[in-house]
Amino acid sequence: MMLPLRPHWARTVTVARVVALAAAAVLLVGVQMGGLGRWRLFGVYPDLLVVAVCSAALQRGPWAGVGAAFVFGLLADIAGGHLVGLSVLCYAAAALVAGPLGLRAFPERWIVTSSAVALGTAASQLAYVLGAKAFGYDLAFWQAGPRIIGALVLYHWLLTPPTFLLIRSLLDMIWPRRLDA
Amino acid sequence: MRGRAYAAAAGFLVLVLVSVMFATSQPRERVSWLEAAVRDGLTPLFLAFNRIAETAAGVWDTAVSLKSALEENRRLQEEVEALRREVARLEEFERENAVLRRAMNLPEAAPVPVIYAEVIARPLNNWWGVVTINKGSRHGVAPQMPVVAPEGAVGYVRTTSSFTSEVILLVDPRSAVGAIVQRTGQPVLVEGMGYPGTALRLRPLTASVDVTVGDVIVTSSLSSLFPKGIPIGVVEQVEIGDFGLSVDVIVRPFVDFGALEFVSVLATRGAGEAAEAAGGAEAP
Repeated sequence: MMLPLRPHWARTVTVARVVALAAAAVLLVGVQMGGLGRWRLFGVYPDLLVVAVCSAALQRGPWAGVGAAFVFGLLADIAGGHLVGLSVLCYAAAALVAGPLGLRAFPERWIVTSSAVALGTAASQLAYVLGAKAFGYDLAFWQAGPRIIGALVLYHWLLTPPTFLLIRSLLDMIWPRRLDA
Repeated sequence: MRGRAYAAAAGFLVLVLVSVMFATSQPRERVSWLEAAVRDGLTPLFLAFNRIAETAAGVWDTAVSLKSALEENRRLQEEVEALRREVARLEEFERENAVLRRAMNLPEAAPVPVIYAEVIARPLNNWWGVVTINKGSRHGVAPQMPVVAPEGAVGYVRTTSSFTSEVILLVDPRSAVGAIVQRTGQPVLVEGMGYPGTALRLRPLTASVDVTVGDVIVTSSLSSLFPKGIPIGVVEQVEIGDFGLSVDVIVRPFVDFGALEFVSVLATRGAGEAAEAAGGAEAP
């Protein structure tokens, strides 16, 4: 499928919107690393940022998701990541997997949202392991990957309703939809 | 035409990201000024969310534990009594040890300065065992310093900024610590498993190692990171390979890495230099 390379929002970037997006990113990274890091469920820590990126991609298309992936991933990696930049690629992979679903189906339906989050989570984890392997870190994906992805998907489904609504409000505030055709 | 420009920009961005990944994939003791600034700047936010999560977790734990509080209280009182007896016994051993050391002209072990810290952030993903603590080079923390909790060894400091430090936990796939089997004194290596979890893998360093389920593993004097004798964990599973040529040993650490709140950084080395470089600040 050909993805549109000229997103509408790229022509409407303003300083205020960039600052608003950066503030949202700081807040989400703070919640992820400072708060959710204490709430291990099903043996894993959640990745709120993947859910946020998938939500953005579902609502505004894959390239909006890639934009969110860049901001969230880079900030998160600089704040405490190991391979700085790898999270950007992982979140971008999640956005590119989740986004097309939003273009083909009504993104507000639970089955669409949950499928997008599940596929995005799996894509981001796979991308992370492959990326780490490319830089010499042989993470044991086959021993633990399926279990981690399964547990993460369950956890992310719990986080999806509030995150989806939050991202929708944020996007409506930062980049309002055009009402004309 | 504009589409091509976007594609070229995206390609360039990916190239830059890969270069940054390569630069940060190498072992390093110092973080860049940008990383240090972001980490230090986000510290109050991490602390705030950490406190909120801690409070919420505390309320939940209290609600869950109320049912068994009475029985837990009785059990803990018994444990306190047992530990008091143990402390008295160990104090006697310590006194005896000091007398014998003096008699044999062995040097006294100097007390290691300790820097107490709070865990303020946890990893972004589940593949690395890393936490961020709220003490950095300004407080005397330096890379490679060991980090411990009351239960035992936690990990070591990887990088520092002015007000935070990144601690690699024992369960991280990059971690490997020299240790001994306490019962036999045989040297072993304790590693992270290479995937998330709470267990460690033990690798024997001698041709034949005598290790059984229940053996306690402690840090070795040969470890370049930890002082000797710090508890690591207990052997949980031993699997001997075909023809006895290999042995697969799983160790359950004493520290619950998922519930870490406070840790102690042992300023075994570099603390003086780090504090000096930071303007003479002394470790608390």
